[in-house]
Amino acid sequence: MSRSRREFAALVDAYAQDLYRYAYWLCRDAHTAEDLVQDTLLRAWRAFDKLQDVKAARAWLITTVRREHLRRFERFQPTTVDVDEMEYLPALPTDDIAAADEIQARMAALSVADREALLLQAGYGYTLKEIAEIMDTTPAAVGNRVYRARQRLLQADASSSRQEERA
Amino acid sequence: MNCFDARRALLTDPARLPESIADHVSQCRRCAREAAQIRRLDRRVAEVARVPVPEGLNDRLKMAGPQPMRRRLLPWGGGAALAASLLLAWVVVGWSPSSTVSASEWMNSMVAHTVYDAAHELTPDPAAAQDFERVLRRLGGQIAAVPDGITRAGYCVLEGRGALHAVIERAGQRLVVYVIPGVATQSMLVRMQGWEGELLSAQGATVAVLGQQSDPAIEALVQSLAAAVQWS
Repeated sequence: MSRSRREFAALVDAYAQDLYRYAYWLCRDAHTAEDLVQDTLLRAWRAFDKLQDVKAARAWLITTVRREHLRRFERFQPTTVDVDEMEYLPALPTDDIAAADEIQARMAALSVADREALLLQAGYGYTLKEIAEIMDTTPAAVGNRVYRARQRLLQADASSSRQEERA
Repeated sequence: MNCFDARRALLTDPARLPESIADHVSQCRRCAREAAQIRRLDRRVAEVARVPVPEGLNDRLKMAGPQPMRRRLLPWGGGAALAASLLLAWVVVGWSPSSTVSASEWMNSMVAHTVYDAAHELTPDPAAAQDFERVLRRLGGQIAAVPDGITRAGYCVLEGRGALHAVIERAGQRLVVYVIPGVATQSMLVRMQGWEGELLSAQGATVAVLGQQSDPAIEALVQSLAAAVQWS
């Protein structure tokens, strides 16, 4: 295996799964998520020498996935099903709120920015500062987003518990 | 330090609490209960964030990874030979290399174009069948028999490439057709922006048909067009 192939394989092994999960949350399509990861890793491979700081690399890659997604789907949010990829479609997440897990349905009701900030923090472990860089905003604004997201999810939990008690 | 500050910090970043807040939470029963509730919520968020990763993802990514020979600058001799072969292919058979645009990007462009042109497509044009043939010829294609029911046909540019754009009526539905010569991409079914469709790459071109409802006529038309058009 050539050096470039080895470097690329190392990037894939280190980051592909996390990038895929995040990409899937952004675009909700398995094939598109895989395309986003592929494009991002190829960019990363070209900048391989700059990616030696593993922590910085992860945030850089997530930012690149996000930018690539925004670039592609500024105007449209496609729901595509590639016939060759159908067996790979994951069971979750789903846009069908009725069939989805309770927390997922509640997260779907959050604004896109609030949900993304919460996913990056609680789901993928990024700090407020890192998320601010990824989302091109300030740590204070990210703080507000995650605060609002958690508050809404907890309120939904409380309201559901009250309804269950009444029933 | 009070419960208000603690709640604010817990909702903002429960995994990285400042020491003073952590002390308060450990001593205040109400805040401790709230902290437990928030951490439980975060665990559930983390669970749903772990979307199942498709089997074989890493292998597919590695297979489609960088091709070193293609990325390196060729020596002058090799570069000149490659340029000469590309020029020859273009001159002799009108061949152009496959696009790097993905199938979903093609579909995006087609649906965007269709939505943009929706009003235009409603008006039938009596010269549509002749236009269909004329545009196809201009793109280097030929068809033995022009399909029935063509109501509009024209030339458009998608992702920087010339394409035939037509509207064909089938079983009372207006189907939007795109034919892009010299493009090979993955075949795909699509549902987006209220459009259903199919994209098929075959015989030197990519053909896509879009309709506003799922219809077997879409598949039949995309396959018949892909088979019927001959490229010079």
